Amino acid sequence: MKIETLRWAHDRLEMIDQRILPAAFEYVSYHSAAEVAEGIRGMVVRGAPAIGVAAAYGVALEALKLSQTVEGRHSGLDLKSSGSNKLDSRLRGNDGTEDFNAGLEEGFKVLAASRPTAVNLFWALQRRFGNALPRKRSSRSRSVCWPRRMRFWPKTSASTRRWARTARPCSKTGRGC
Amino acid sequence: MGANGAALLKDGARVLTHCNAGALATAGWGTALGVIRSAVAAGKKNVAAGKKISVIADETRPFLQGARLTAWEMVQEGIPLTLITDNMAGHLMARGEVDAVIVGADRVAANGDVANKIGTYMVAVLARRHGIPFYVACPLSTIDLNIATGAGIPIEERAADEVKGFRDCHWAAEGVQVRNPAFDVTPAELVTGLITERGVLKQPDARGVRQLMG
Repeated sequence: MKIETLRWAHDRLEMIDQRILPAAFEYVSYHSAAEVAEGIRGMVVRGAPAIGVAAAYGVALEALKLSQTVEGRHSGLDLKSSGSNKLDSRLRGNDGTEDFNAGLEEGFKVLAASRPTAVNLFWALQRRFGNALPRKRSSRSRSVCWPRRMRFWPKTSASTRRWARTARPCSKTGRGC
Repeated sequence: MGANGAALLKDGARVLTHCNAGALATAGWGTALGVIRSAVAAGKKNVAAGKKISVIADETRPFLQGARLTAWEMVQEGIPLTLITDNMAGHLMARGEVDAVIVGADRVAANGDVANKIGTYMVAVLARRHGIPFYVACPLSTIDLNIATGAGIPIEERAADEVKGFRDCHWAAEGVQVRNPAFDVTPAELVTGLITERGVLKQPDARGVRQLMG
């Protein structure tokens, strides 16, 4: 029998509730990094490799959630503002990229603190997303737009995921394009 | 990893495991239980290559991963399993009823020290006393070259409630002081072999781990 300890379902992560197994076989749904971290802490999922997988999904959920809120807020802003205001807000670095990066970093922290002994968790976070972590300005950085490109993650293509691992904020503005 | 480890097990081996290092712990085949499943599964394709393996599972207090999760997985799989409480392992070993021990790992330090579920150290000491091979099955992602020895691995201390009872049932005296470290460190010298996807590292030490990680 193939046991699906964790599975991705459209826009959420589902994990077998290992607190109640084998008395009951149930999946619990998760929608954010904080929820996944709570699941790890509460032993819904346990075992170092499985925790690493859960944490990677946790970051994906957070990216998905953040990209939706950032996109929503800024498209709302665009409806009300004129073209020049929109341009101004972009020039001021107010396009949501910073919110997104800060939110994602917060997600990392809460996941990394959930199970200190299991190293695979840190391994998964570093390996999958370490290079995509928000960084300070770099002279050799590439122009990127986090929210837009990550909107459909993890359904993005392999090339976009490769790109996401090496992404840097724009060299001129120090933020997403 | 499973095939690498399966080669270490004799036909008819009685394998003791602690905690759960199966599909539920890995989102896949499993590490320690993966080795056992591989040894058994070989027989489905080629009867001569298959081994009759039976599992002895420590119940693994306080969270009972052995009694609940390992036992459940092995029943699903149809692999014979005998459940014991943690304090029975020494007795069975002394009577010659255990041929090998295989456990998983939460973190392996650069010198081969192994952090795993609380109680693993106790099993490793017992295995050494009785001359029983003690294997640790883990992917390379569990090996942390940034930590020199097991002393540097942070050990999570969990809530007292887990020791005082389970879910709604409480048996400890009210107001009693409790310790609940969730993991312990087994020194590398007690480890017979580290079973990984890249092969088996026998008698792990700093040099061997470095070579394994390439």
